[in-house]
Amino acid sequence: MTGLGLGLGLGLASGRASGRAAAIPRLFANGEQGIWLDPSDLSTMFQDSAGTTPVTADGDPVGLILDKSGNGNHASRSTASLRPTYKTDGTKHWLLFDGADDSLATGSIDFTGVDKVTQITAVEPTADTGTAQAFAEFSAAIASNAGSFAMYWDKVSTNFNAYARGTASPVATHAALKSRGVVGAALMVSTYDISGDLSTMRFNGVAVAPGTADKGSGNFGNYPIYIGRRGGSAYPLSGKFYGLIVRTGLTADPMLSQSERWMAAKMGLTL
Amino acid sequence: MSTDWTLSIVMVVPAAQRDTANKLACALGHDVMPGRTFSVPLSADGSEPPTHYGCRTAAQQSFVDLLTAAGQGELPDVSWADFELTAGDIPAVLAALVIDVRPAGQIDGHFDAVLAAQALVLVAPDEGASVA
Repeated sequence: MTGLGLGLGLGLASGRASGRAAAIPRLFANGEQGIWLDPSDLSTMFQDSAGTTPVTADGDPVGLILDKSGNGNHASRSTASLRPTYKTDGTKHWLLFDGADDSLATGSIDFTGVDKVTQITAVEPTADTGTAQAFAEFSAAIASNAGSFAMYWDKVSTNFNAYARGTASPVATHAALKSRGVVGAALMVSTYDISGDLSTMRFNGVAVAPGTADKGSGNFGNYPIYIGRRGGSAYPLSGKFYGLIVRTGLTADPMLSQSERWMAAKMGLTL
Repeated sequence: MSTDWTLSIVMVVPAAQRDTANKLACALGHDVMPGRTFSVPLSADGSEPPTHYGCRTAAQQSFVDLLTAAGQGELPDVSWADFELTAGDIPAVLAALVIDVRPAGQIDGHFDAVLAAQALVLVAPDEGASVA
């Protein structure tokens, strides 16, 4: 399956983009824990959570998307009504979350050995609905779980936030792009460091003010990642999901920027 | 290749019927027990407790036909007991169920439009104004 997926990606890419594509597997080349979800690779998606009926056409529901990082952290949804929809315009490919009840979740991912993580999330909300929209969150709710992280948009502050916490409260620990409506492309690239009390974020290629408040202590936890809805039950994403990469460690340039440009190309975003 | 999932369907059920409706969704092959198809809490002003629960999903015409036939009293041949139901449980749920079906291309805004027509909004989570 992975071979076909890589073939499709390379076939659509320029030489420079091919280099970017090669950057993503390198993120996990040394056995790094994490996840890589790529809706542009049809070979990784199935209509049912058991993985028996492949996604083949625009409009098919997605009950399972395989993790391409090699860690087996696949994301699924067993309830049919809660599944997002695969969409394509012939060039771009995304999962459409309906702003009501669609979401995906992985099994628990063990990050208990590290306190440094990189997260790249590519979404494009299409409607200003709800009091917040959760894009990808490690644990059922960052407010309640030590050693968690999350990316979402908050309507009260109109901020795109990248939170991470150790034992401390997550409030004020975030990097944020402030005062932007939710609708539109949002490529969020963050590194989180609990002991270093640091959350960084590049939003659509531009660095925003980091979060430097005390994150407390300890490592990240052992939780599922919820995509498109907090804990599968709140703050639904209304719009497009182009991909997710999470890996252990503070990914540095040029690998980070290569990964960022690869994801930007997937969502048709010019950096 | 074209998809068989040509429809978008929104369903809303009173809170009192939620458990039975979730089991019915399982019985019709749209969920697995214990069922959480109706997972979005709703009320008139967004406050607790929810008075209704809703869902939106992609659907095939066959599923809509199944619901339509059931609404007319033609229940499918299902072993209801396997889903903690009896055939007698079904009519009341179907009578209370709001169903709105549109082409799949009209997903955007479908759920919100049905809620507006029913004078319902999402119940806000307990965390308060801030997500964190």
